Amino acid sequence: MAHSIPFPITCVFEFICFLVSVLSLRERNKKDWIRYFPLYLFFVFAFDLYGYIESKFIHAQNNYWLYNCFKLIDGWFCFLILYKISATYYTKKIVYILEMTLGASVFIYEAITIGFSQYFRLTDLTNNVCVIFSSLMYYYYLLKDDEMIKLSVSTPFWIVAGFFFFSFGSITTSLFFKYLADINKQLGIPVRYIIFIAINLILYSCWSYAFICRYKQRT
Amino acid sequence: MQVQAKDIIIIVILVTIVFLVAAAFLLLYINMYNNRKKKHILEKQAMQTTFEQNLLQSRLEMQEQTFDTISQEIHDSVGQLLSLAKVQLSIAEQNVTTDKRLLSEIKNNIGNALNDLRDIAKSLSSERLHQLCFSQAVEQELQRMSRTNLFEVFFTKEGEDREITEQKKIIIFRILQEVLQNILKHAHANEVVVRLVFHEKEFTTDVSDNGVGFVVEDVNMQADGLGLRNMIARTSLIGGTVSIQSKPGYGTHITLNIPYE
Repeated sequence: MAHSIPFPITCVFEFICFLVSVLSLRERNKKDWIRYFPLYLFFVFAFDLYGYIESKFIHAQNNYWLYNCFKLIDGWFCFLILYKISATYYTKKIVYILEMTLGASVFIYEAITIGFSQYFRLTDLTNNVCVIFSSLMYYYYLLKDDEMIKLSVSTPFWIVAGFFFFSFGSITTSLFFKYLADINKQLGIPVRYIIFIAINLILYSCWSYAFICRYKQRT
Repeated sequence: MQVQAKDIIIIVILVTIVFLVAAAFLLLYINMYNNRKKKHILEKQAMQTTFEQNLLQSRLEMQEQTFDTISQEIHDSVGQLLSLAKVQLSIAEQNVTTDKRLLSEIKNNIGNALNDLRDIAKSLSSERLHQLCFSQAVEQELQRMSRTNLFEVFFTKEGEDREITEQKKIIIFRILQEVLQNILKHAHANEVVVRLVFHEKEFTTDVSDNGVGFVVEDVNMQADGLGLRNMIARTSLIGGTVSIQSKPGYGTHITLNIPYE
């Protein structure tokens, strides 16, 4: 069956979330971790768009190398944000350093063993597990803390919720990556793509809502 | 392949949905737990406010009682002495020759009045309580009481003084003052024994007299029993307990147990 590259709808979510972040986080504090988001979202949006254009119009053999490198940077960004958010409750820099080192080590291992022409499934899985671990740590300390927080309007809570949903939801696709790639190639059913639309929708909805919460708290 | 592919698709989609639902439930649970925590914190704050209000109320009541005591003491001792001094001065004024003995008596009476005033001021000052440890404050108060010559006072202390919060120190000291005032006014005792025992987690203040005594239940029921009931309420406010043992003709024994924290 012919294998066509669908337009990444996630780009639309990313762009909307980027716009919300730019509009909501205009007067952000220079020390605030949230200031990284507009830049990061623009980077993700531009990256996904470039990936699509490259596969669709430049007809590159495959752009796994691009996504593999992105996975490493993306993982580091997630660890950094989760570390900054969790710093309100506990400061365990070692956890952050360990996660970054683990992510980089698995990335190097896969780069050596399978090369950049293959998708770094293990790096993806490691990143997801680390993000889930950090998110759970954050939630644990959040509940342990004596301070009273209204979670429905808490920016950090919704940012972490986005990470948590995304990592939880993408674990299965990472585990079955090879099978799903074969299915897509042979039967033309983009299961991974569909799942990613759903989890990206959840991720960017949570983040957009978190930015709006921050905006409302400021005004 | 097609059957296998379908199976894989179903497995992947189902597992993803299960994971997402699990994540949603986890967040829901976190939210529920947080709400419960919030409720608990609010309840704790409300309890704290009530406690502070009660504490304030108690302090105001004690202040009121203390004012009564001052008024009575000024009227009974300082007032009497100064009135006498005034009369003596009038007599001295009428005498053409200077009566040295009379003048010396006037001087003594004014001196006694001044001493009484100083004692009253000392016993009322919270500042003095801050500066002294509890046993020292009690000892000074007992010395003051013994100067009335109405009863003999015996004081013993067991264990080393421990740090007691200012709030507790003031409340327990005022309770003790009230107990001593009651002995002075109603007990007709000629012997009062005060014992302080510092245990590991609490301290005991024991006051016993050989006065007329009373039926505890009867006093509790009467309007006069308000003082006793207040004493119990104030002690429980700072986490302590009171034990009152009394019998007509056999004196009274009051024990206060107060935790340090």
